[in-house]
Amino acid sequence: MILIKLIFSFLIFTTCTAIGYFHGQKFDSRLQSLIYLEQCIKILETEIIYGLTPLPEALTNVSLKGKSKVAYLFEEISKDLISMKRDHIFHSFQSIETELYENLHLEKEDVEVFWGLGKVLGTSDTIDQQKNFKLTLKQIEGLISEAKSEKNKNEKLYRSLGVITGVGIIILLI
Amino acid sequence: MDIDLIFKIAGLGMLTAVLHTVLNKSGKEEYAQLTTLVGVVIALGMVINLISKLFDNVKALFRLY
Repeated sequence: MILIKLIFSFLIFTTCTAIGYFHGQKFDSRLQSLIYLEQCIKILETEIIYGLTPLPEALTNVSLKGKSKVAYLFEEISKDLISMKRDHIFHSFQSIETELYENLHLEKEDVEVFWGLGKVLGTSDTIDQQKNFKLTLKQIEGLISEAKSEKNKNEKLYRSLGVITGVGIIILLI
Repeated sequence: MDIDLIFKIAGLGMLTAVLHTVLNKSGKEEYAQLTTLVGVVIALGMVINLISKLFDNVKALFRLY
């Protein structure tokens, strides 16, 4: 009887700790994704403004040069753009929506900023494109600082909250 | 007399105190207040039987029924 109690309390404790840990991890993941996304967009900017590379090729180049956590998305956008014969690249940006939310743990405003880039990409001349890149990078910078402060505030909180809740449930049950 | 109950309530009190501090530090004062309240309610739920027994005993002792 005592053994069963022990095993199940351990199980409850580990589950609660894991839930807290992974919930806290999301904030770290979002920050990392935003930083990598910024790098990737910078690479894309260089490809387009200075390399004058065609868009599908530029996107593939970004996926080769950027950090793999985010960069593979650009490869997917490029593939989608070619294979689905999209009339506007924004639809390709929309096709990876679920991955932005689930794999990169981005918030709605982050996705909107990223899509804002997709809406103007390849629609005007280089000077206008450069302006838009600058705007997007500035916005992402703001989001990064916001994500950083959110991470500092919440990551530790959720981790300790998980552990404490686990211990609390065990105490109530014993 | 069940001595385990005292330890249980002591443990609950410690946990609630830690929870209060953690939540307070991260700027969620209203949740901290709420958890403290919940802790008090749970502790009260644990001892409510004993309190009712005590009143019954008092009633029986002074023949107030």
